[in-house]
Amino acid sequence: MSEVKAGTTGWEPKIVGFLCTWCSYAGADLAGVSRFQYPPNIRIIRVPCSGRVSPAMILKALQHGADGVLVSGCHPGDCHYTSGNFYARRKLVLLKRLLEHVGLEADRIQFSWVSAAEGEKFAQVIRTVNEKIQKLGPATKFVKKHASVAAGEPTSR
Amino acid sequence: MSASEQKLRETARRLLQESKVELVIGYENGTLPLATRPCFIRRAEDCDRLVWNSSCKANLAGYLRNVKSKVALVVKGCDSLAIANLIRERQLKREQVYLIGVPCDGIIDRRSVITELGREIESASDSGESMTVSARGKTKTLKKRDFLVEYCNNCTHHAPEIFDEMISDEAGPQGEAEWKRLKEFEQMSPDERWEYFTRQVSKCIRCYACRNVCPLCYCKACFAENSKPRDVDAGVEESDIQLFHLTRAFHSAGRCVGCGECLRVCPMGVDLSVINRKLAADCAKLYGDEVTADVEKKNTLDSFKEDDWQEFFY
Amino acid sequence: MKRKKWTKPEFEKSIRNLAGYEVLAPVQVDKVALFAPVREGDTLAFDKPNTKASVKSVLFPQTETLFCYKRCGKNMAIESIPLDEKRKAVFGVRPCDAASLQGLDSVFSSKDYPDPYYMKRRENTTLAVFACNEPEPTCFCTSLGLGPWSREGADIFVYDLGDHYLAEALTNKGEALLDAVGGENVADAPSAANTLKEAAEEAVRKVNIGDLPAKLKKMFNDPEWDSISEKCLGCGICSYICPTCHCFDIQDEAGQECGKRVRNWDSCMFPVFSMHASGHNPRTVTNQRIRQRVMHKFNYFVENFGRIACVGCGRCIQSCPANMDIREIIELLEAKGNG
Repeated sequence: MSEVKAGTTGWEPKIVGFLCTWCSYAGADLAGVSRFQYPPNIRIIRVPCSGRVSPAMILKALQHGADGVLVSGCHPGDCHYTSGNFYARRKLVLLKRLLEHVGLEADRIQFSWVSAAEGEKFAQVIRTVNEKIQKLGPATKFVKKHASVAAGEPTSR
Repeated sequence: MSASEQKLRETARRLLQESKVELVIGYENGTLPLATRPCFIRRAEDCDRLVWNSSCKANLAGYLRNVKSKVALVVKGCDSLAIANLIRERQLKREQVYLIGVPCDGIIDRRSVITELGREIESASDSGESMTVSARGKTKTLKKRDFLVEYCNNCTHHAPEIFDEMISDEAGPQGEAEWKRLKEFEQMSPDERWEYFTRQVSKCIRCYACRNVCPLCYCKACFAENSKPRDVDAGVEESDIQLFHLTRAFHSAGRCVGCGECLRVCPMGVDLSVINRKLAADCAKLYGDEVTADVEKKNTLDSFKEDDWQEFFY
Repeated sequence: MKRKKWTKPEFEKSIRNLAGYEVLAPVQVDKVALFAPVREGDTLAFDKPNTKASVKSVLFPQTETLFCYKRCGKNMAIESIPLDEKRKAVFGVRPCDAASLQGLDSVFSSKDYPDPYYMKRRENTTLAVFACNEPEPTCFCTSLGLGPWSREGADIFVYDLGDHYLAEALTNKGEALLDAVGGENVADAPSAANTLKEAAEEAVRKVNIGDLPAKLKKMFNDPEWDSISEKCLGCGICSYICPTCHCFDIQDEAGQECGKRVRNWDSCMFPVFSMHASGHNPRTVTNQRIRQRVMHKFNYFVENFGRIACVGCGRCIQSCPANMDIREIIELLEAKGNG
C-alpha cells in the first residue's frame, strides 16, 4: 500500500469518478472495506452503467472545475445490462481522442474496467489516475469563468 | 435551361399530376445572385419554379421533419446519404419519399465569391465551368472549381446512392476523400490546436443555424436548450460555446454525412470541420465505418464489436 | 460647427492612439467584419461594406452578468456588478445602425423600468457615424424613412471622400470626441457632399412598404404566413445580427455555493422562446413565429413606439441560409393586405 503524498504546492486534484453500480462502485466499496488506501481526491458519482455516461457529462464536469474525470465500468462481456459498456467503450474512446485533437490534455479523462471483486485494482487505478492528474496540474483550459463576488476573490464551487 | 433542369420539371409535374406525391420539395431561384432556396410545390403548374444548377446547396432532407404525406424530394449525393441515415434511424420510412436524384459537380460557396469581390454580389451569370460575377462596377470571371463549398472538394458521393429516379447520368470527377486540412491540423502542437479551436468557436453567436440546418439534428428537445438538467448554459461565455460544439459534434459522430451545410450556414464562418472531420476519420479508422447509403447498417455509436479498440482502459 | 479632416492613414493612427476612450470600430475577424474594441494588430474594416453583425452588442452585449450571489449561512448574499461606465467611442457606424439604436432606446429607457445596463453604456458612448457611399444590393434604408447619409443618432458625422475623411460634430459628445481625436480644422462641409449623397441614395434599391403597418393589423390569420415561412430553418441568425432585435432571456447559472444571474440574447425564432413554465407553447409552428417576427417589427413596434423596428440594413437577407427575404415578405403582404 503506497502512502498518499500531499502535493508540495498544496494543490490537490479534484477528480470526478463515474462508477457503474454493479461492478466499479462495488469494487470501490470493496476497496474501502478491505482498507486499501487511495487518495481522497476522487469524488464518486454512481451511475447504473458506464453506458449511461455521456460525453456532455464528462465535459460538464471538466468545465465546472474537475481536474480529471474517471469513468469505470464492468469488464467487456460482463456488463450487468449485457452491452452497456460496449457502447460506452466506443463513446469514451472517441471522446478522448477528440479532446486530444483539439489540444486539451486528454490525460485528464481516464477509463477503467473494474469488477466488483477488484478492490485492490480500484485503489491502484485511483492512485495511478491521481498521479497523472497531479502531473498535469490544475485544469485551466476548458474551465467556466465565474464572476467573482468581490474583485479578486475566487468563487468556490 | 439545361436538359437536367427540363427533366426535373417534367418529373415533378408528372408525379403531381399522377398523384404519386402531394408535395415536391426542390430548389427555386433565390432573391440574390448565385442563391437558390428550398421550394415547396403542390400544384403541377408551379413546377416551372424548379431549378437545378451549381447554386443548389441546401440539404432538403431537413425539411422532411414535419411532413405527413408522400413527398418527392430533389436529392444530391450528400442529401441521399442523409435520407438513408434518417431511414436507418427510423425517422422516415422509405415509402414516404420519392427521391429525384441529381448528380452534382459541386456547389458554389457564395461566401467565397463575396470574399473575392469584397462585397455582396450584384449580378452573376453561369457559363458552365466558370461564372462571371460583379459588384460596384468590378467584374470577374471565376472558375467554379475554385469557389466550391469546401466539403464538395472532398466529396466522393457525387451521385445519389439512394433514389427512385435520376434525372441525368452525368456526374463529375470525385473529390479527394482525405482531408488535407485535417492532416495539417494534426501536425500542429496541442497549444496551437487549442488556440485554433478556441479562436474559431469564440466567433459563435449560438444562433444554432448549424444545428437547425442539419437533417440529422431532429431532437425535439435539444440538449443545448434543456434546463432540467442544464447541460450547457446559453450565452457566449467561451467554455459554454466550446462545450456546445464538442457535444453536438459528438452527437453527430458516425452519423454525419459530410454535406457541409453546417459550415455554409454559419454567419460567422466558424470552422467546425476541424472537429467533425476528426470524428468521421476516427469512426473510419477505428471501426471501419464510412458514410454509406446502406439502411440496414448500424451507425458507429449504435453498435459495437467485442474486440473494439480499448488501449485507453486500465 | 466643428469640423476636422484627416487622410485615411492619419485617421486610423489617431483613433488607435486615442486617449480617454475605449475605441471600437469594424474589426476584421477572419472573413467577416464585426464591431469590437480595437486591439493592436487588428485590421480595421472601414472601407468594407457594413459589418456582419450590428453595433447593438456595444450597448447590449450578447451575454452579460447582472449580479452574483454567494451562500452566507442560511442566506444568499447578493453582490451587484458595477455598471459599465467606460467611455466608449465607436467609429464606422453606418446610418442604419445609428438609427436602430434610437429604437433600442425606446425599449430600454422605459419610464417604469429603465434598463440601467444599457442606459449607462448609452450615456457614455459617442457614435461617429460614417456616411455610406456604396450601399449593397440588399440595402433598403431609404424605403424606411432613413438613408445612406442619414444623420439620425450621430454624435459625429463622417464623410468618406476617397483618400480622406471629413468629420462634423453634431452634439456636445461629438465635439468632445472630435477634440480628442484631433486633426486639421475645416470650415465648410465638403463640396462633393451632395453629389455623393444623391448617388448613394439612388443606389439603394426601393421596397414598397406602402401601408403595411396598418394593413398588418388585419392580417393575423392570413394564410400567406404558411407559404412565407415554409423554408425557415428556425435558427436565430436574423434576430442576432439584426440591429433592432432586442429580446433577451434571463437565467441563473447556479452552483451549490454561488452563482450569477445572466442576461443573454434570445430569438423569437426558437420554439423555446415562447414556451411557458407549464409546458404550453402558444407558438408551436414556424409560421406563427415568422408572423410574430414580422408583426413585431412592422406593426406592434409601430403601435408601441411610433417607428418600424427595421432599418433596411439587409443583413438578414445576406445571412439567412434559406434565403428568407424580408423585402419580398413586405411587398407580398403589402400587396395582399387591404387598408
